[in-house]
Amino acid sequence: MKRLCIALLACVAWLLAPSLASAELRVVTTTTDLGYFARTIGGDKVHVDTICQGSQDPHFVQARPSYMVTLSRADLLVSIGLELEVGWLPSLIQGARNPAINPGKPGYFEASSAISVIDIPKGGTDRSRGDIHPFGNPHFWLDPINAKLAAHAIADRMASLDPANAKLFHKNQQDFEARLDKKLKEWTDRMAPFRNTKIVSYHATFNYFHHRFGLDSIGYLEDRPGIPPSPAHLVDLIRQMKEKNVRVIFHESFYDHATSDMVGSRAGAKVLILPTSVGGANGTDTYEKLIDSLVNQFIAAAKQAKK
Amino acid sequence: MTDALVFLGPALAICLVIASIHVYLGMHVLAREVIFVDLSLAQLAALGATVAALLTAEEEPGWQAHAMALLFTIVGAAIFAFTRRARKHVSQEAIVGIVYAVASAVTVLVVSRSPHGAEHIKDILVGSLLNTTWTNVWQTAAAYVVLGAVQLVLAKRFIAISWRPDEAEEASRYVELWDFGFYVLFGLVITISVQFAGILLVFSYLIVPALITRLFLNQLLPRMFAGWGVAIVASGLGIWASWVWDFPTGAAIVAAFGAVLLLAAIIRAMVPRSA
Repeated sequence: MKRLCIALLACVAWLLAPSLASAELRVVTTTTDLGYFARTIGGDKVHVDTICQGSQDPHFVQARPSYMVTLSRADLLVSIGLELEVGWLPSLIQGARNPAINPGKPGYFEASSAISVIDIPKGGTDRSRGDIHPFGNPHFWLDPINAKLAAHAIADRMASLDPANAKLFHKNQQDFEARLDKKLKEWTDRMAPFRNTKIVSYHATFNYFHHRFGLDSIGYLEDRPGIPPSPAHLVDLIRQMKEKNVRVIFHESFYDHATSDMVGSRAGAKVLILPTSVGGANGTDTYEKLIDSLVNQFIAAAKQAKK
Repeated sequence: MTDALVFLGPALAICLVIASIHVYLGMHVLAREVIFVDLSLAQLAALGATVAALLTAEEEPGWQAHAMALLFTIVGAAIFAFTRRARKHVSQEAIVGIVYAVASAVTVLVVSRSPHGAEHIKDILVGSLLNTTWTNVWQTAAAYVVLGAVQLVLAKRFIAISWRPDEAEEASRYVELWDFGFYVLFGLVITISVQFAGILLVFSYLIVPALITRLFLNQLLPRMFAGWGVAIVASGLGIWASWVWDFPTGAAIVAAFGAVLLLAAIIRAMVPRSA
């Protein structure tokens, strides 16, 4: 009996061995943007996995077995927070059975805690108004300043979990910050002529981008996520767009763009089908290229509208 | 392999629990030719839960959601039971279809006024097998033991109504009431399983084993055992595929059911019927 127990324990140890053997910090992020930050900071000292693909809607993720396996071996889970992933992450965490990454533990980090949140519903949360996020807009990563803040906070958390590499993490993070600062100046200069341009968008994904570069968002196409907009709402929006001479529609690439196309053609506005995350379109494999792509496409459309 | 068991163990277990009772009920559904009745009742239950979410503005479905789901299911059961005598003029399948379409449309209308609606609709369709916990498994098993016992006690009468409807109508004046009871029990089973497995998978557990076994067997009891075999094979195959190729689990099992059915049909076509 005793021998059998020892043999069984040996088997268990052997099965667990691969996950214990690697010393490098295992980071799992929900979105590719956070994944890019973590990779940039960690270099070859961390192993980073991302759950949601860049071209995918981060509000909805269909659970797969591998997500749970990945999470079960993670040392650190970095999410956006503000209820963006509320529909799928809690059950994945539960399924992963990894106490280290439970909310409240050092291995669980919501990147949105590092930034100042916009679009917080006023006067309490009236949930009857649809899928609004009660704690404010979670799509913070398209503002480069927020990207810096988030990357800094992620570096701090990674450093505390892996003190041996803390110096390297902070150095990489500072390099990234310097790169972003340079790019931010370039983006701000290029966007300056278009300050206060009125635009509309499909979902509130680009609000932080608009906020950073001074674009004036006058409304959304969708009434409620997943529900076709009511005709009355669209008619009213088209009227407003004509009145205020809105010539650009920001449209998330993962939503069906039939409605945006229809509104665009009625209101005489260009529909920009835009990536919302790193890897969301060809040539957006870094965060800098992602923002480049948004800036380039917007400027091209805005110039055309001015003619 | 141990990993697979840790992460997919509850999913496999809940599939087997669901198969236990659905394989039997599927035979009834097939005999009655009301193939989409589960979709219809599940959609009504979902509508009930959505209405409750709108009225209570609660984020997590509480007892109100379950009560409303049950209430709507009972309404559906009443519709199906009390329109049965009209089946000579209008196919029951038509009524089942209309209830499904209207319930789905009204769900969309209700969702457009309620928070977190879109997620709700998606969950109903594909379920969330991977998120099943062992607590879910035990609770469902307990509920199905009770519901299965009731089915067993009433089996004779329900079988008579499902397989020999005309005789049953002549023999008893209360066929509608018994039928109502059948649909309520059926609705209870479905509303539980849909939460985990989703509509597509529940439909597969009901219909595919019943259909495959009818290709080869006539007697109900042998068909049930063969049906359980089919369900176990398809569940195992689907979950294995989901693990190996990293597919969403529910959809993988539905596809596995399709593959097993195809295989059975080929065998049927090649092997001449002996009886």
